[in-house]
Amino acid sequence: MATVIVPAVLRPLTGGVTRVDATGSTVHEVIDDLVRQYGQLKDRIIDDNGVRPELFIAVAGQEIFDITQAVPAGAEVNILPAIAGG
Amino acid sequence: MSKHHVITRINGEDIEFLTDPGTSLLSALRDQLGLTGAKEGCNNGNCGACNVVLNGELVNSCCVLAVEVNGGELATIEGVANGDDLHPLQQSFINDAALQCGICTPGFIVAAKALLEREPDADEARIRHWLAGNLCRCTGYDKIVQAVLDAAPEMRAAARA
Amino acid sequence: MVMADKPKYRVIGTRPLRPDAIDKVTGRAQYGADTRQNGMLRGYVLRSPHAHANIKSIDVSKALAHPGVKAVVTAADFLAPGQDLAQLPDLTANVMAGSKTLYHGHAVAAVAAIDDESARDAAGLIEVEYDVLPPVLDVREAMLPGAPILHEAMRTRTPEGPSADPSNVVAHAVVVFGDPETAMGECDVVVEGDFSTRMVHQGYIEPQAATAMWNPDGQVTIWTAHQGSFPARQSTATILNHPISKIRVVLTEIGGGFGGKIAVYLEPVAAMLSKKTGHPVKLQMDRVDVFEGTGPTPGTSIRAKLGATKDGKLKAYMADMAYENGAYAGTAANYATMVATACYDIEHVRLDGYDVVVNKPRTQDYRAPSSPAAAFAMEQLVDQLAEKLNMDPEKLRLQNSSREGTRGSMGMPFARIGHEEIVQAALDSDHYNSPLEGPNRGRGTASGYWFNVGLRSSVNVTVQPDGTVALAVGSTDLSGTRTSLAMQLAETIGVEFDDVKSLEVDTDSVGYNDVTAGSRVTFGTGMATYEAGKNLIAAMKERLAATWNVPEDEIQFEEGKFSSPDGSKSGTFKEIAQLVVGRGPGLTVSGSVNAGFLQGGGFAHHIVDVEVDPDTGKVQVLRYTAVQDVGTAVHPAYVEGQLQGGAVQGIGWALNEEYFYDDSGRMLNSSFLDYRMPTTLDVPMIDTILVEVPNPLHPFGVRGVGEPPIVPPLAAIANAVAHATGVRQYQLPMSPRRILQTTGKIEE
Repeated sequence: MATVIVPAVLRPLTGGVTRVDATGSTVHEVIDDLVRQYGQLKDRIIDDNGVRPELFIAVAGQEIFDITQAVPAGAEVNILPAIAGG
Repeated sequence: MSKHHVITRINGEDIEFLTDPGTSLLSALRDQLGLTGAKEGCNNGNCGACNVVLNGELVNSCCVLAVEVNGGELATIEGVANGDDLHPLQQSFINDAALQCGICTPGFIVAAKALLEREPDADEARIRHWLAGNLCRCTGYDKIVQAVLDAAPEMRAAARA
Repeated sequence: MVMADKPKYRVIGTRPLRPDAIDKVTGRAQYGADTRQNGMLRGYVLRSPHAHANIKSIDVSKALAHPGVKAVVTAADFLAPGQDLAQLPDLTANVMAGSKTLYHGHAVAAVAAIDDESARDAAGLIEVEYDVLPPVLDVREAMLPGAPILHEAMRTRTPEGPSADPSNVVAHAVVVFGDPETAMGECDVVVEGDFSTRMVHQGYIEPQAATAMWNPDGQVTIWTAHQGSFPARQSTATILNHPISKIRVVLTEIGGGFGGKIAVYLEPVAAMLSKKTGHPVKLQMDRVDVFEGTGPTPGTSIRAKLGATKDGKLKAYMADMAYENGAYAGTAANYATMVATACYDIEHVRLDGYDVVVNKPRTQDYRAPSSPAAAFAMEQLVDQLAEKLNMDPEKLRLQNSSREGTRGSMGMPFARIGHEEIVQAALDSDHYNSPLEGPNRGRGTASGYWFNVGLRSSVNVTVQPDGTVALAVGSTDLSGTRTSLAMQLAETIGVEFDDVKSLEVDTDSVGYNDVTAGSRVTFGTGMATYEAGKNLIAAMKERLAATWNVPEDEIQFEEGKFSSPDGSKSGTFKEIAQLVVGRGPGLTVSGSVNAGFLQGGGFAHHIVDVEVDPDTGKVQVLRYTAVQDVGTAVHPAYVEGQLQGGAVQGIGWALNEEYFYDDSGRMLNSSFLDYRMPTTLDVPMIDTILVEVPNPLHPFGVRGVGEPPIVPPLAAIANAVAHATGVRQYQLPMSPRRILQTTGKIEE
């Protein structure tokens, strides 16, 4: 079980819900469960090539680059907008 | 409209070229004469990136017509170094990290050289006053002013020699 | 000053002379407008004179008939199969207006001709029929029902789902931590304010310029001064509906960017003109085009409230933050919600971010985008709170400072950061401890934050026969990074700085590099350089194993020397390189990283003394100190330069710069005379204090430094002005007129 933090940009698709408990032992599984709970998120977070380019994902504060990476029980999974600067 | 024939000296060399009467000196330098060291930042005399010295006066070449250099003497950034020997100002800009993107640097060097040749003892306030016509967006001016101050002693010594 | 046991570096931390400086001080360096190609035509872009209008028709026939004109392009040339003008994606429509023009200066058509004058004259012959619409120019007005709508299809994205009706509000983002309404009600002291800032421009001295050559076989070469050759290639390919593999982007030197040269403007237009003419085509903006047709930064309206206990514990912060996006949807307010509370540990927060379109140029990033305006509000409220609590504002900041483990602005705990250290350094500084005497004078301080990123970088290193190396860099060098990268390579492979030659290469010659932005190159491309250095040592060990007849994994490399296990054979990097490469096959290795989005944020803190003339309203900056956590200063002079440059941009933004519009939506001050950026006369020397808290994410502890310095100045100066005059400034710029209005000398 992990807690997924939904970014403001996707919250319209969860009816405003920010924190979602989701099951899974890898990032891919956790996101799949999140999408099962909120169908409108389908293909909005990960697609065939992995994490969508306008987002990035951090598990327990560490950015992940591989969605098969393990998610420890109770960890926070943050989905964040990919922004850089000027 | 027929072109005008201009005969002039640029950085000590005799140069001739043809130009439309409405062409600016900046355009002639950059587009015809291959002297692209003078830069266009604003094209209306407000940034100094196009500074050259015409008949001993510091000018914005965007505000001078090419035909005005006929019979005159022009000094551009390309003539500041002496072959492979950099001018003290050029060296001090490098030593003091007084450039970041470098686009304003030719204008500043031409302008600072014009100042120190007239006023070898210019202090910080005078330097800032003289260089207020040259805009820089990268450095905040601190290291530029410092570089001019640092070049001054060597220029004074060379002038005395 | 150094906060931890700093390793002894040989090259890192020294101040070598940058090799590309010689070309720059002699005028030889080639910038965007210096590009020359044989047979080159000159182009000119026709721009809309209306801030908001439907385009009914464009007749280019007279322009095409002009002698000297070779081609004209309009948005119709960029349509994908089956697409109509009203369906043009925003990316394309901003480069060439489709069915509507949405700002004064919006590109409408472009001409290629034998010379500049012909191109301009011909553009004047293009007949555009406009159906003029009322514009909306104020962010709060654009949010009201009944405001002129820019995009009929736009619906606001809200936490509850999309709005029902067309709107100019792109999105309403909500960030909530804890229970801010209740907590604010429980605070002993509450301060609030309604802050606003105007649109300003990055102000780079070099206008955009791009030259393109479209070969008959479809191969396109683009020479441009751009902050990212690979992203420019991608955007251009998308706009042209052309494969990226057929586009090669070659970077020229670049005369400033600051975020304003991340979007493409001229590249696709030059390419399309070249396609139609069969010649290289050069397009150059003039200063008016730069102001009116590129990407300035949003004006803002921020209504904020900060509450604390009587002991000075910040407890609650609430802010309604509306940011202009200009003509097309953006995410500026969303960014603001990610940085607004970064400097402090505040348990209860509610931020409402509104991204709003208005009839102004599509806004772009400007050095720590959205953060300066957010700090303008927060840091003045902190200052006011300190006054009410009778506390030194620096002590209030220290008491509440974010630290390692504090819930960060993005909701995740901060790693090792340096805000506490820099506020302490400011408190201990000579500036802060020097009395400020005299009438009409005041001192102000403020903090600021930018999260910095890493992203993807790739470099190649080639060993030369004499044992020196060439470092091929794909990241745009805005201010000297090719030198700090060379320093990192020299440190990694144990050679002298002068043994590394670094050069910028095109998109076919090196692996993918993300944009030069987000303060990422010294960090991210530095990591790629470190990787390349490691890979190079490994490759040389492999060759050496054969030459020395020693197992590869037993060869040591330490302090720049290779040695055999028994020590009988050894050699410096250069000696070994001459041995295994000088007489052997060539050797090029690469280093590639994806350093992601979490670089480890940068904090800045500024102190400024001002004198305000009560009769003219002029604010003179007397003394300025910029303090920053810089991780490890690879080249201290360049780091100082970043702090100084960012501070002075902030001074201009605080005191004088603004886009001044008339009611029709035309910018009235689109020249350097009236868009008033700081000159040498406007600023003193900018003192810097570099605090080094090494970044654990980088092999040498590097932290990006370019953006944080622009964040504190707006608030620091506003605080100083408030202390000098007794009057709070809620609006930027704090121009002489504004100071006189707020101090009651003239009518508002």
